[in-house]
Amino acid sequence: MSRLIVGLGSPHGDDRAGWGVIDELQRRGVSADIARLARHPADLWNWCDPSTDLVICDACQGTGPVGTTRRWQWPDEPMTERIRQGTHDLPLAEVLALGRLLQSCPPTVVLWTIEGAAFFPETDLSPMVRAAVDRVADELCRNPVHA
Amino acid sequence: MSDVDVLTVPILTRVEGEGGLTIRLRGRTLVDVQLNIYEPPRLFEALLRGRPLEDVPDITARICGICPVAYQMSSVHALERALGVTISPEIRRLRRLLYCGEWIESHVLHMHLLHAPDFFQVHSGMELAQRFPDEVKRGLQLKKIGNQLLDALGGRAIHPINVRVGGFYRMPRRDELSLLIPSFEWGLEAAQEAARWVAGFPFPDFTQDYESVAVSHPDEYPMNEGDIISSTAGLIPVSEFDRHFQEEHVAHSTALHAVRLPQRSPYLVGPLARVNLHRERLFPAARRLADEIGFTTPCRNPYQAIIARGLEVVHAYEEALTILRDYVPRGPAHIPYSPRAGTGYAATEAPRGLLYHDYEIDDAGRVVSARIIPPTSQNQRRVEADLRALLHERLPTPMPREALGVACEQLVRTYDPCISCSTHFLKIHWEESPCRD
Repeated sequence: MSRLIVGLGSPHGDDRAGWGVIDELQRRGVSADIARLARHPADLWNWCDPSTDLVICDACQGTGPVGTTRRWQWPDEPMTERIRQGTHDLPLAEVLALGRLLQSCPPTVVLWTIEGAAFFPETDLSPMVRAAVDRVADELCRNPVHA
Repeated sequence: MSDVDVLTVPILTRVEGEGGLTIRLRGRTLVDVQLNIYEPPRLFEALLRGRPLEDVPDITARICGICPVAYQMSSVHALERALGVTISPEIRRLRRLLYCGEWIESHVLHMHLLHAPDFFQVHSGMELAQRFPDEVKRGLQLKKIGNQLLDALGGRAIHPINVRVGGFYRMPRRDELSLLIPSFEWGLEAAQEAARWVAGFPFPDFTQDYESVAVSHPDEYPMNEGDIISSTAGLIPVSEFDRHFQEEHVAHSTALHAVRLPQRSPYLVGPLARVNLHRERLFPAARRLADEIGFTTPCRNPYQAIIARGLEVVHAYEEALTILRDYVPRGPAHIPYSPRAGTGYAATEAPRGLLYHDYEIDDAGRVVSARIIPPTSQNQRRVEADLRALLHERLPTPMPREALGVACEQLVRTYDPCISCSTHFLKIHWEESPCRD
């Protein structure tokens, strides 16, 4: 079983949260083959197969105060509409479900979300989200399999 | 004044980014239709000012997650023109190869999962995959191979980092690219099957009189070098872009609308425009396939843009395979240059159409000004014109508003609008006032 941690995001403020986790993991020595940046959920189809141990990190809104981190187990816990809805071509939940149907994605996926505050073009992470990024990276390093 | 009702119907899905659509009716008469763009204007042109020119390809790549290569290519070509840099034939071929990877990824995603569902009255790629699992799975594999090429040549698939002014940071080794040949051999066959599949879709009978505009090169299918050609005006030197095209601000959108001068008319860019103008420059397998499926040009049916995309995927696989088979690393990875003051401009073909950049740099190699005109901004007025024609055609016949909204969404999707290059979010607003007679 291959391990893959994907950070979804864009260069727009707290939407960098997923990328921030990946950058932090790579800084701590995790290989770029295992910890990868993605701009769109559909990128997952390029890298996964049914046996991949897949963890996704992403920014979101609507899960609590800024900087709130939450671990989801898809598909047991359906994602709220606010996760990866709207700003991208295909929503994450649809990408995962279609990938599972066509055996291009694993049947279960762990998703870490970080509540963001500001999403302005080409701005950096806000301090609360920056701290949350470090906490998620800590979790992933502490419990690398099925973190 | 009549009272106006404002109604909202579901969000337009399966487009890259987010925008909005406002339809104003008086009874069954269309008053106006506007494609709205809500996102604050992209700040990238301002962000580039004062930055070293070396930063430009990496910054512009961040404008769009779907077509970063296009932004890199237009920027490096424009800056090389400003600097007087002439790249080597080897660098030029590798840039076309990189562009092939982006066209494949972008087109295949749109064909299979964003556009195809519209022809089968299903709401998502998921539903389509339940009906056509083999075809959609083939599409995912075709996309994956395009991604592998971007990864191998661009340094990574997301925001490629190997592109620089003058060439590349590193030439790939022969074995790195040779590894991809079997996948591209499979892909060339599979791409032809995919194009045959979409050519058999049930297309609405809707034709418009388009002015097609694309990059033009004397010998090649348009991609990353050349002047501009219009189906009505003929060849236009890129240096004369401003004499023939103009961006205008419109109140309902934070993206600028581009129009043709002097008549201020809409025009069409993208795969349909490219195939209309350059069908004979497609690689042989794509040209043969166009003949086989009876795709005649000029095609004026926007719904058939999916066929043009299919032909371009075949072309991209075939051209990429040719480059991969012939590739031998030769010469420097990049051509050296010295900073100097100057201006430069270039147009290349993003998956969604012509992408124009121009820059002024100072003698220290810093950006003084930058201008970026993405294809979706250029198509925006054309989309509105198509919607107006569609609504004029459909409104006289009683039709549920929801069905009419779906028809509008589907028409917008034929353009594969990369709204996030210049937009955000698409909802449809109906503003209705009763007839006063």
